[in-house]
Amino acid sequence: MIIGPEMDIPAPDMGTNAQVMAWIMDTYSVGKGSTVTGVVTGKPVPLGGSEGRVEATGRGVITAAAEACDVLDMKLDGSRVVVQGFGNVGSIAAKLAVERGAKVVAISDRVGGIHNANGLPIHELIQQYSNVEGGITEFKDAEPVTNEELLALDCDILIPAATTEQLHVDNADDIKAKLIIEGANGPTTPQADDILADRGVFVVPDVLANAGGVVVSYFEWVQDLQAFFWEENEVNLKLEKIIKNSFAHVLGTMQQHKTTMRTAAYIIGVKRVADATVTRGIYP
Amino acid sequence: MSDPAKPDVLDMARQQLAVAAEHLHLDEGLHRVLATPKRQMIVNFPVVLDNGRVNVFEGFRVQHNVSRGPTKGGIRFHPEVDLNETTALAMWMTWKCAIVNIPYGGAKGGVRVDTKSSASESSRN
Repeated sequence: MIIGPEMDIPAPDMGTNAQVMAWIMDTYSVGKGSTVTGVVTGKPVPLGGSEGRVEATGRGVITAAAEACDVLDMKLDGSRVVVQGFGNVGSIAAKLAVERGAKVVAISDRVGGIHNANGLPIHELIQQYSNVEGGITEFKDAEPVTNEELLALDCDILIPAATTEQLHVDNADDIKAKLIIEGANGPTTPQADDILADRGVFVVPDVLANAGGVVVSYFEWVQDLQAFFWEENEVNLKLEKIIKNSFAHVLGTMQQHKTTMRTAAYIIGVKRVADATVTRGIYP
Repeated sequence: MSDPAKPDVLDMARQQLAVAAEHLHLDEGLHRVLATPKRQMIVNFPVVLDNGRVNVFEGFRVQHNVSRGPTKGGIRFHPEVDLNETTALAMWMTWKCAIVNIPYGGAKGGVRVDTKSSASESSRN
């Protein structure tokens, strides 16, 4: 067995969901002879899942966005947001941005993108266009945009929440957003990172911005191990506290090392792992 | 992977690590350890599709670092999953868990499959 609650704990990602996690939990449990909920996270709530897990990554993204707005003297309330991606991260981030007063002026899914400078009805898009053939492009009160047009739209905040390497050397100069919050993993290439840093675009890196998902996965695992479950409000408060504290720590490290948020985050993360490795005595 | 604007994702992850290693004056050997995954597993497993045909799918699980606790990371079902990408994503999970200070190392898994074709495949143990 390579997975197990004390060994390796999978979770949902692109193409998988709570149902798949339930199947994994069941398969593992049948092998063990008793139900082991802590072997995977992102499970359905009735099977040892956590309240707030589905929304956790998007909630972390928007919490990080609000913190970054404070740094840049911007306000999330009233800002114009472009979201690339309409999966679990993009759709929830867009919904929570709207709840906090932002205007989502463009969004895309795997079929295409739509733009309306007056703002898009995110709730309606989630309710009515998530599971239709043409996706959100079937929504008529907006103009269609290509992926490259979407990324270069005039806006305050860009949230790439689709896949890797979307911001690269060929389009980094076209980005008009002042603030980028990485909802996806690895959406910005190192070359694009350098260009964006030179241009003064503030990038909150994936390893911080989208950590909400694994944080609430951690909460789910803790709840499973203790067989004691929390209310959604408690989960959300604990999540927001961790994201805010981590953001402040990364920001301080960024100022101290005079570097980018990404490098500062890496300095913290790599140092913790390196210190643990050395302290345990397993290296060299 | 032919687009020159888009480097290999594992190279990208290692470049990001190298920048931090320089700031930290990280020991060269330790840097090498952190740039390399602890475990990589490839499995091929048969699945009976809805149309009765049997297809064999390739799956990956990479555990990048185990020094801070058990490993943690998603499983993706996607036609472009490969070992390199899974390794990069596992490495990113290691840093992510450390940055928000939760007691895990990083892992990632994937099955190379165009989803919505077959249901009920489960774990690889």
